[in-house]
Amino acid sequence: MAEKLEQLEQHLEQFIENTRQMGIIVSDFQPQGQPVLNQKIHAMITGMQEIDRCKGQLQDVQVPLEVFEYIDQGRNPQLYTKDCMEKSLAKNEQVKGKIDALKKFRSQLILELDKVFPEEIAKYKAAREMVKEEHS
Amino acid sequence: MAGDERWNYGNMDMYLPQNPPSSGAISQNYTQQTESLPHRTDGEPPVTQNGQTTHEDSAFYLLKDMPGIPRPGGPHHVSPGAQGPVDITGSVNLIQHHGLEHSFHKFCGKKVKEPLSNFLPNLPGFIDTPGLQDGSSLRSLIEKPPIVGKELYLLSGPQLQGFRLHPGPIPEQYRLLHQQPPAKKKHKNKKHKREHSKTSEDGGASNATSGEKEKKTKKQKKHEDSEKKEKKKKKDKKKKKTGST
Repeated sequence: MAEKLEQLEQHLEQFIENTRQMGIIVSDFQPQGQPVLNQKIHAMITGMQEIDRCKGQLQDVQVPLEVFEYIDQGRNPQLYTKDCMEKSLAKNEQVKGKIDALKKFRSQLILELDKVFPEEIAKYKAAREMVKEEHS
Repeated sequence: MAGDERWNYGNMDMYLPQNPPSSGAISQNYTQQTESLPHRTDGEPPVTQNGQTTHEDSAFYLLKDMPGIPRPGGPHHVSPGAQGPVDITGSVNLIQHHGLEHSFHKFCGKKVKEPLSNFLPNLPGFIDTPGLQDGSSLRSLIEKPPIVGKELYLLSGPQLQGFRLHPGPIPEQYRLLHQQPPAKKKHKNKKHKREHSKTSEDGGASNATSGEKEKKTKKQKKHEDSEKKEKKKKKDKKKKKTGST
């Protein structure tokens, strides 16, 4: 996959460079530059053909639409990856905190209920062990 | 339960009771509740005076999910939450679990530069400007996709005749399109400033560093003096010109 992306990147860079050179030729055109311009036009069409051939190999590549917003604003798309990583870490920490708080609450609740309803909690614990054995 | 505990995971205080009631209060509340509700022996939740079942009022309604306890919907009733334990939860470091530590350190450990040109340094032209300004945004490409599916053919000789151009420069409004952004100036003074800051951090007690400092201050003074002289000369010239007219 990385090779295919590198190949596409090379084709695109060559295409852009060719277009830039055409722009230089056209900006101050001289008659002797006409054959060169024709060559560049041919190179542009072959470049487009090569890029078109690459698309078949990259059908599985999925790009999140939010990255396009970063690029449209002239920002580095790696910042999107960075923001995603940071958000996922923050959410992970948040959920871990909730889980730990609920685990503590559960153990404390069972402790307190055991003091008040020892027989019922004993039945509950026995039932929980049965469920664990079934799932294991 | 310690109500003063503080978690490092965001605002978790809302999940911990600040003043938990004592166990005696709980038993008192429960006895008050059971006195009002009729006792049932068939495993079904208690029924209120209105004849409606109160799952929420029963202290052990969760036991209906346990085996050996008759379920209200019959033996084939599958209640939510009766699944087995889940291996991957939020209590695990998911970035580590999915092997993304290297990527995390790569993107979050180092400073990622803001402009798009840092990601694509080889691209010519101004690419840091927003795409909406010149209509080159990717969003517009998605909203109005171009015509695709047609085959691309090389142009023949007669077709290339359409690209014969007149000699001469193009109008000024079109010249800016292929201009390059100004090259980033390499500030040599920054190196001297870094060395200067390093020496100041070290204390600068040694004679060598103090000697370097004196040299640098002398150089700066000389530079400033020369600039002042040049400015004076320019002013004098202007005065002479105005005086002669």
